[in-house]
Amino acid sequence: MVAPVEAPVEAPAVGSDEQVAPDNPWIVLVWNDPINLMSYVTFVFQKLFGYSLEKATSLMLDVHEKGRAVVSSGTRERAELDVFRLHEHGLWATMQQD
Amino acid sequence: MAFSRSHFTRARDGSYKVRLTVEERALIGSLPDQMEELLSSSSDINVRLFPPAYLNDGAHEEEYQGLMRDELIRRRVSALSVVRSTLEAERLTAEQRDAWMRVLNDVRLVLGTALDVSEDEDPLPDGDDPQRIVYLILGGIVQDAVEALTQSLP
Repeated sequence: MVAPVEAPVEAPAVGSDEQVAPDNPWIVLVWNDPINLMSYVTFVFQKLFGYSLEKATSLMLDVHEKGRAVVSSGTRERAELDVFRLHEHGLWATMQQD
Repeated sequence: MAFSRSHFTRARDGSYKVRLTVEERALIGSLPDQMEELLSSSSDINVRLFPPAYLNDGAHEEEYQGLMRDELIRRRVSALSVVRSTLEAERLTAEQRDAWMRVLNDVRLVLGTALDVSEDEDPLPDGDDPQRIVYLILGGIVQDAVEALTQSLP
C-alpha cells in the first residue's frame, strides 16, 4: 500500500467523549476526458467505491455531461488514496477542500 | 459490434475465456516493452498516466507526485508483467483480466493523447493511420473486458 501523507494528528483530549470535529472534508473530482470509455469509467467507480451500477452510471453521466463530478469525500488522507487509485486506473482525478 | 463475439466471456468458475486472433495477441504482446520504456521516460506523451492531484496547491502537489508517482509506475509495471506472462493464455483469472484491462486502457490514453483525440470528432477520419487503428482495436477489446468484468460485480 501507499504510505499515507503525513498530516498533523489531532488527538482528542483525554477523558473527552466529544467527537473531534473533522477537518474540512476533501472532495475527489473526476473530470471529463475524450479517451476513457463511458463503460470503463462506470466500471472503475463500481470497483473502487463499491457503488451500484445505477449510482456509478449516474456519476459517469455527470462527468460526461457536466464536465466533472464529485465521486468521494473525506479526510485528506482518504481523498488522496482515492485520487491515487483513480490515477492507477487512468482517470483524470483531482482533490480539493470543500 | 452487435454481431461479433466478445473477446472475453466470464466462465462459471469466475475465470475469463479469452478470444483473440493471432494478430490481436501479437499486437498486445508488442505493448508491454514499449509501455515500460515510456513509463520511465519524461516524455509529455504519458501526461495522462500521471495527472495532477492538486490543481491550485503547489506544495501538496509536489508532495503527492513525490510519494505517488513511483508507486503508480510500480503498479503499472506489475500489470505489464501480468500481460507478458499470460499473453497466450486461453483463460485469465479476474485479477489477470483486470491487469489486461488497465494496461490496454493505459495504451489508449497514450495513443489518444498522441492522436489528440477530441470528444466530437469522427472516430474514423483516417482509416490508414496505424496509431488510430490500434487505438480503435484496443477500444473494442477494453469495451469487451469491461462488459465481461461488469458481469462479476453486484
